[in-house]
Amino acid sequence: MNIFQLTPALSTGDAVSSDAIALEAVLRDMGCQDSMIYSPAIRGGIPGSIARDSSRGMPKLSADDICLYHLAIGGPVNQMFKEFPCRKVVIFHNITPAKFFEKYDRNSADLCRRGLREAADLASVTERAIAISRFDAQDLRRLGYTCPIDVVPILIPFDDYAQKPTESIVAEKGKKTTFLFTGRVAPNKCQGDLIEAFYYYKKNYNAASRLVIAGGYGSGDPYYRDLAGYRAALGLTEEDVVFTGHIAFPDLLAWYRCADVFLCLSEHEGFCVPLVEAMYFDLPVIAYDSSAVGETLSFGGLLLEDKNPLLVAGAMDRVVSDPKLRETLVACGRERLKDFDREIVAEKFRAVIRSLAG
Amino acid sequence: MAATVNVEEIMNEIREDIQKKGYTKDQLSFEDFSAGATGLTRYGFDEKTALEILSDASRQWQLTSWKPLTGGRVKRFFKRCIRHCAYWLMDPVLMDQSNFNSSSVKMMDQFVSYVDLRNSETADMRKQISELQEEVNSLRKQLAEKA
Repeated sequence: MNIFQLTPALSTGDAVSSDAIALEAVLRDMGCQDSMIYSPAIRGGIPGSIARDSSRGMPKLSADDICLYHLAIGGPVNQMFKEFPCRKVVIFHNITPAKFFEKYDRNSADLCRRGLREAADLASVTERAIAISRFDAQDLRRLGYTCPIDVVPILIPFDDYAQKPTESIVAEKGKKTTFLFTGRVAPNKCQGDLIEAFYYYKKNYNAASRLVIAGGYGSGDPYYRDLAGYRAALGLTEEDVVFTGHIAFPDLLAWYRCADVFLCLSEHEGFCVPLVEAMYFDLPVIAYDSSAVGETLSFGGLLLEDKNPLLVAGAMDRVVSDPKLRETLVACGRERLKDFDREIVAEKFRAVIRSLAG
Repeated sequence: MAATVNVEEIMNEIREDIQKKGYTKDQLSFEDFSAGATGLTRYGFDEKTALEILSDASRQWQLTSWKPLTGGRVKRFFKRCIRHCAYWLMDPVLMDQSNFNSSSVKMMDQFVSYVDLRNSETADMRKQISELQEEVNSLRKQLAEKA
């Protein structure tokens, strides 16, 4: 019996790929030395010892083998997975609802719609599912999955965060109050709402401040262009609201160390790894309670039910100017972080694998 | 855990503070700012974007009432029955819409071709103007030397 993973794409820097690579290490520790990650789109930086291009052929599969498929979007890999003769386990990372992309990117909207249809189609062939959050598990049930579903959070490689951060960014700490959000520029992550709240914070509370949005975007991306236009319309400059674009890992580490508060107003997340990262770096977190955000953050930060920009700005000021609240939020974050300890999550995954292996 | 945060209490205090200080919204929300915008037209014509949209529309113009049915066997059965009962109403409407979509895509293609044609003519005219300008400069120089 072989166990292997399948992903639509594999690259450094995205949550699905990071999870697959981390789980690969756990599988090999369990003795699955022949385990491999297969993907038709492997980008630079992934070692050949753990990943193979599935478009160059898959190994001969038997009915006993187990495929762990990271389902996150629509595409031909979903059909490929469905046709495998082996046992099938879906690891569900959630699929963003198409409505967020309708105005900006019809292709992405179509892919999301297709993804949901295909995810539902896989329900009948899936023996077991792993959801990275209870929110995702509920979505699987809504899609018609009747198989057992285990909730196993994303396995986060905290050891990587000990790497050296970019010093020039860290050196800026203290010069301006810095609010940070990390995540690619995408409509469901509502970077527009971040800019709006920041405008009122800067105007009503603290002019010596900035918002850093650390995440990739395309310069021709219509959503990014609207964000840049909105920033200008509010009279904010590129120094007030910083779009870093896709950044190297040391830069990302540096922004976490330089920032004062982590702010998230996203309306759809399957898990939201940046929340855990923020807690790891002892950043107090303010987040809007939507989708899986409330579940991931839980008591680890300030969870808002209302993202009225004036209220959010008030909360931003409160966290910055109240040392006791700040300390409490950091302490709550450290406590919540324990639930994502590598060994705890790895053991949940191992329990699922042991149960499958019989 | 030693301490917790009373979020409700904090937010109530913030609301009171906002009211006391008279803070109000004085700008469009992001949603209002981007309402009705594609993120494209606001920033002027961009040929590459126009071609991408045309390519998308060329694949998306045709509508069909058939979609794969999801859910359990019983649910799919009832959905199939409803689809069977409604197709006589929906299909003619979708066909009319598809015909309109087809005409719209052809018109978009015509506009893009028109832009290409005009760009080509403009490039030719610019070249002619440049050549004429050189000739004028040369003639002025000759006149100046004779004078």
